Amino acid sequence: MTDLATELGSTLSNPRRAGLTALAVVVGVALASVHWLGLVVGGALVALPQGSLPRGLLAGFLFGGVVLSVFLVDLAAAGAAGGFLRFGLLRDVAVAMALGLPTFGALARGLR
Amino acid sequence: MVSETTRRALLSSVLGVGVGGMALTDARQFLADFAPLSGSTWNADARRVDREVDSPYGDATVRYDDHGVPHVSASDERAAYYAVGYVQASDRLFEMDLLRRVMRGELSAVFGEVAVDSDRFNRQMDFARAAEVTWDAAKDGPAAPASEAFVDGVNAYREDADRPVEFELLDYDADPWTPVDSILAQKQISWGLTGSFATLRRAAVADAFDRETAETLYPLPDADNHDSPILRPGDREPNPPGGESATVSGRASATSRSRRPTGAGTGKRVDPDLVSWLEGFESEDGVGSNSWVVHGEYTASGQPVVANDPHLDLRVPPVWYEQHVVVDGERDVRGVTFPGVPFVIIGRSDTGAWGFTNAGYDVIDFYTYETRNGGSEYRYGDEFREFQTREETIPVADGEDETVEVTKSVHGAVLSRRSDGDALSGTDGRVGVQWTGLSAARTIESIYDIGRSAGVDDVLDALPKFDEPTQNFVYADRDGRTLYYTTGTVPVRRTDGDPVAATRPFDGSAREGEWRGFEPYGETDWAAADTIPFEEMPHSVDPGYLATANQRVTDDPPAHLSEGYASPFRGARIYERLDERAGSGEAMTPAFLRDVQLDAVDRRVDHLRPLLEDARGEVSGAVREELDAVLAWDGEMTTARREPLVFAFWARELGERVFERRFEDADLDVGTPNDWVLGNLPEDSEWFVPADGSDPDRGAVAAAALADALDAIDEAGHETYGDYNRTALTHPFEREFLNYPAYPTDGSPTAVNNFRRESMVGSSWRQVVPVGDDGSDAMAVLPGGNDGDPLSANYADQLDDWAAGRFREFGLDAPDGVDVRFTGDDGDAGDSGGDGE
Repeated sequence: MTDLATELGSTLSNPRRAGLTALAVVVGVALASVHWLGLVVGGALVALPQGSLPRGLLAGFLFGGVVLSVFLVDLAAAGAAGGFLRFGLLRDVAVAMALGLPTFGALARGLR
Repeated sequence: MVSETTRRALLSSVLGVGVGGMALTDARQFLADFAPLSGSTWNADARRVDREVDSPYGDATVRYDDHGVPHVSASDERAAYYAVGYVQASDRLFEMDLLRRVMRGELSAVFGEVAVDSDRFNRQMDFARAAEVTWDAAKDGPAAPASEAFVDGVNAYREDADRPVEFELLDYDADPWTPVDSILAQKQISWGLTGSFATLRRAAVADAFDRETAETLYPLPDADNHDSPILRPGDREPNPPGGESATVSGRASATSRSRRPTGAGTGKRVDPDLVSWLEGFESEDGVGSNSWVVHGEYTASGQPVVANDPHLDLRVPPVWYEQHVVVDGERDVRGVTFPGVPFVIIGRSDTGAWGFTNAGYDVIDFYTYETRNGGSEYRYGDEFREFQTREETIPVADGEDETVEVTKSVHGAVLSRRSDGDALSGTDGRVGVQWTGLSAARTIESIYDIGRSAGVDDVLDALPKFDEPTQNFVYADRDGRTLYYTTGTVPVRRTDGDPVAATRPFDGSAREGEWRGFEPYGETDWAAADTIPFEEMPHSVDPGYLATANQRVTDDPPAHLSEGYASPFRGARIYERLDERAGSGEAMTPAFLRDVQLDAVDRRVDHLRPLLEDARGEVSGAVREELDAVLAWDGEMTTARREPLVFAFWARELGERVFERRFEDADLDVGTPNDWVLGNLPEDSEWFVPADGSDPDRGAVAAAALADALDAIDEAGHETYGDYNRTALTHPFEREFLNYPAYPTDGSPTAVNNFRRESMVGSSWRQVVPVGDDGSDAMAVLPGGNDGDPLSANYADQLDDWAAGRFREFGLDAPDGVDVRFTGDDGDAGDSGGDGE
């Protein structure tokens, strides 16, 4: 947890990096809203400004958490959150996709 | 530097292979369907009903209650039904589209080859044409304006909203909804309830064995030897003291009394393979229902009560859609309808309550023909006529298109299993079909009128137009009057001018079994047609209490009415409960009548008890202990007990040993007789021949079936009935996330609490409605949920209540607030839509 806080602090302490990351999150969520590849691309976008591959992977994972939150809020607004929670295995797979695909995309940080 | 390059190459490869693997394999579709945010399954816009909707018909409001039931209110009828169309589509558009595709023979276009046979059959029946002529006849009638507004409402939703998940998964859009589609939704249930191939089944069995055997296994009504008909003779049919005592059952008239046909029938064999194929397009065995009406003389409140639970397919979403529609000063009606049909079919209003069960009447006949010219012409009396034929293409998704020859004779449809029409000799494998539903029916007007009726007299005016399907109708009004009437047009069949019973296929060429005045695929003049007059149809006005469960209607039919009714187990049990209560002097409260609806006692146990007792001498040890437990048990099919598990498995194995194996030996793949018939077989019947072929031995066969049953129970790992008797309601896609959860439930195929585990048929709606009070005691429940959206809170919210035998309120109060407001073209949004009360 301490490591996580340290990593986050590192990103937030750099205004340029924080700005790019925020922009990447917005663009990534927008892309993920229209196509599943957006989850991968979004993960890559938020990872690229980070200082290292591990930090990039963490950023991708956290971006997945943002996606998951937006997704659940969207479902709740349509009165479908309860239905989603009853979806069993498919619910778990959707959560795994939300977190896993951006983290996978964050591997792109290693290409920089 | 080298390691940096290698790392980048490795990561590039991983990313490339990963993305490529997802994008270029089956995973792509899965991701497209289920990825968070973009996945079509989660498309929130598809399930979000706009809170403000423009309406060309004026203002209306919709309030959803906790069970997702829309309470629609308007001051104009068309405005109300525009809203009804909109909300039905928002909850059930895919189901609506699926049903019309079935009836039009257009399933293969989205489901592929698996549906070609269904399309071939439905196109040969040409239900679409029958629906067209029905709408042509109705489009200037009183129900047309509301029907057209409903259609516009459906299409408004279809155009406004994103497509529901099923359309996304199959990747197609629904075509515009039409009034003919609404009629098709009615034809679909009419066919399900009266489209029976029993005549052909009996003929095939007669060909394989002999006619006596056929009539033993599939008894005609006059051999239906039980004493619990719906209309019980003499003093057993109570009338309310002080009532009009106007109980009248249908009476035979001199002109319409029919005789059983004599001789060997057409002398032409029915193709058993054709019969087997056709059986796939009739309803599952067990489609039936319970209903009863109780006069206020027998209730605590002094008001009558109507109970009804139709037994239809239990599926996802449910076959019924619940709605409540208020049109100021004209209509306040709540109940269920089939998705795609604008008007409540079973339910209640502020003036009455009503229900339907299947009457089991015979409104379908079959004809064989003498043909020539390669089967293109058939003899009809003294002349040869050409079959009307046309070839249709059946589009098949992901496959080659198929063709089907649609053929018609003077009688109606001509069915064939093969695409080329089986142009062979003699009867050439084809069979002509005449069914009342092939003509224009006025049922929609009747339903429309019942919903706005003020009492028994209005209903009696509406019922003669209920041309299809033939039904037992029970009704009670707020003035305390009760009514039972059988609806539907039943043709009088005539051969050489004389009425005949339609118990075997007719020789169409010899003009046997003619229906005078009937116009298949046209508009029949029902007043002039040769049918059983409405006044002669079995009925009872102001009965004290009367129960229907698809059993024999009357001992004194006015003419040939039926080719065989359902077994009497349920009907007898309901009358037993009602008679006991009436005899005790205790009032029949709504709580008591709900308890009757949930009664799980299976009277098959008594009927088959002699076989169980015979088996006792043949078994020992643990098997005997199981058998003794069953013999000592009260026959209640409840989840916690083991005896019903043993009995249910034993009865199934017994039917297989007695009938199915013999049928297989005779190359006969048709539906086998029911347990009522089995229990009626004499002890020394040849059907009780043991597997080794020795002399008939009922006890040995029953004991062998018990051994098989216990083995099957062990193999399945069941301990109690609840391990086996569980809901397994599936969506047509059979994807796990779309199916309902499984719950144990009481009941059996022949208990009042009706549940058929094997075919997933059972109580598709339960209502018990006291009439005339404030409605707070009126209760109902649906096996599932009102909303077809799998993410909705109302997708399956009533299923556990249904399985556990619980009900919820079914009153006429609407919830507070407005969920959807429809605004008329004049911009006069507002509250003209009443308050739902």
